[in-house]
Amino acid sequence: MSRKIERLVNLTIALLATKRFLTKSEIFRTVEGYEGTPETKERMFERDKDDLRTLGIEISLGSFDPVFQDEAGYRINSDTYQLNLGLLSPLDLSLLSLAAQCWQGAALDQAAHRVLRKLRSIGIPANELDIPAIHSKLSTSGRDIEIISSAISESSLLSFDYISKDLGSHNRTVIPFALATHLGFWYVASVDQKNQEVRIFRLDRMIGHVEKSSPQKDFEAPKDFDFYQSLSKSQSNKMAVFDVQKGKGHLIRNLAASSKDLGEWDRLEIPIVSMDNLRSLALWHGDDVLVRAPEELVEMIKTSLQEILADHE
Amino acid sequence: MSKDLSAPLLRTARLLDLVPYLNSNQGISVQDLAKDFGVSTAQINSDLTTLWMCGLPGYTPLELMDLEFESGYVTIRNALTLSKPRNISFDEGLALMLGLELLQQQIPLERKDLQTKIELLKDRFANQIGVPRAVTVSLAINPAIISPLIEAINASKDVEIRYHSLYSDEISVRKIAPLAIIEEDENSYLRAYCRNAKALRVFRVDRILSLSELDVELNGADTSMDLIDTDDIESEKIPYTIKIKQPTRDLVERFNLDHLFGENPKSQELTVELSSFSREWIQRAVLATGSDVELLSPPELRKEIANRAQLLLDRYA
Repeated sequence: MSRKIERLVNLTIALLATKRFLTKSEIFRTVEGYEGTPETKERMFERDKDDLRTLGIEISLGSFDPVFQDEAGYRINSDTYQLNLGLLSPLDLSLLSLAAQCWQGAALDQAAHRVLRKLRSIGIPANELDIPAIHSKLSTSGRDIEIISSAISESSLLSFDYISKDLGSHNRTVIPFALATHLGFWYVASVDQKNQEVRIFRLDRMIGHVEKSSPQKDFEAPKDFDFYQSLSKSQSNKMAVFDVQKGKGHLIRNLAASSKDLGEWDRLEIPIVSMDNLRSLALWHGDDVLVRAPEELVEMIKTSLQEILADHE
Repeated sequence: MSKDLSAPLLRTARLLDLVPYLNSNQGISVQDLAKDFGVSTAQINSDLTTLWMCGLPGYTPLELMDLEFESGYVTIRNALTLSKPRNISFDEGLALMLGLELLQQQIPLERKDLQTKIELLKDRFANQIGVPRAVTVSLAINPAIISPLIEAINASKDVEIRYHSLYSDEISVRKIAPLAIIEEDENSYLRAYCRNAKALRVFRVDRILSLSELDVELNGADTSMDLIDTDDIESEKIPYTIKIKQPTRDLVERFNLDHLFGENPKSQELTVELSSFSREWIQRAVLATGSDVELLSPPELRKEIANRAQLLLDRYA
């Protein structure tokens, strides 16, 4: 195996160092490691080219002098091979290094490690910065984030299995147009191809592989979409009324659209997005919360309590 | 891309990346090199030996790269062709761009110089790397809490925090000497000496509601302690058993039953044994499922849940 690796490195060096295109016969003659019958060498070379491409190294094909229609040759363009981030000051480099360090132990950890090594290979000393580097705590497979981001940049179709509320899994095909985090979770906003409606998915609820397929050229992302608003604000005009004891129910207070002081209690108006969630929230808080409206929610809570009582008596 | 590379290709990539790294870090020790590349020193030694054999066609001593090992330290010469690092791939660019965004949120707004600088870097690389602007990331923790907190830890200063204890649903104000931030179970915790309790405490960083600096120097508190010694929770895990009548995504996420994902356990009653550090949490969690879950044991918690349900019913009557 080590001979193959040596050959790949030598081939890279040779194709990178050459100023003109090298023909196959020149390569077989000069690059160490090509041995055997012409067919064997040919096969070796084809595989090596594929392998280098897998590593992200592009080999360009061209001829030395187009007028005379020479035999085609190969080279690696150093502009595409080499890192070129333009002129970087030591401060720039420090900021980029800190940026990469944000991912330690989080979603893009692996890629961040690789890029950090590359930054350290540029040969510019970094400034010491007194900025706290903290960890981002955004886990979930980095691979999904990578695939989804590149699908966004190409407007490609994505398909994946998604866990629904009842724990069934359903296959979804969407065109993603935005990716964002909220309170430690990753979300992708997309247009569902089944009904052409905007849908938001949480990445940790996707199971198995996320598949990316062909770019959709005529796709246009919805213009009036506000990701932050859709994730954080409950958009509803219908309100539930919760009485919450002073100093308690912090989670509920965060959701409230308005609050009225009742002395020992506060009366909060909560936008209704999901009745199930509100029931859950009310029950979690026990006797620190009394739900006043709507009647439907009060009935749901009473039914649940009767069942809980029957189960646990 | 590189996550699915075969071993020989991974190694080829490493060799190509080793050359510019050595070139910019002349005289680095083999140990440091192994650490930086995340492999064993034996592996690095074998990589260096292979590299030694590589070079420009001709393969006379003049055309080969010169590697010098001197008592465990490595220098490289004659590496002109490979002396620049390889271009960054899409996922590396993504890590960099989104990292810049995270960094920007951690830097205090007063540092306009750095804020502008980061904005410029983002603009500069967005096109080059091809990361769509619609990909954004924000800190899971409030930067208004975390950056003064880290400053206080570094300067050994006391702070006053308003803290929400989730299980008891109480907000308390405490004077603390923050000691360290610990990452565990996908959460960030603050280890601190609590001046009110006169003891070491652990706080969940995301439950610190606000923070203000106090001008007091911290005087040596013992920093050795276990994570579990917090206000919220008991010192030992309490085993409990629940019967799930109908598995739902909410239940899986509430009780951390990730292993049920993808198993398609549709409409199947199942019994699970779990444990928690907090009795309060177990009771609240079972109630919050709204009768989707029955607590089978321990019996005293079962009784407590029945009592609570009765009490609540009376209030709605």
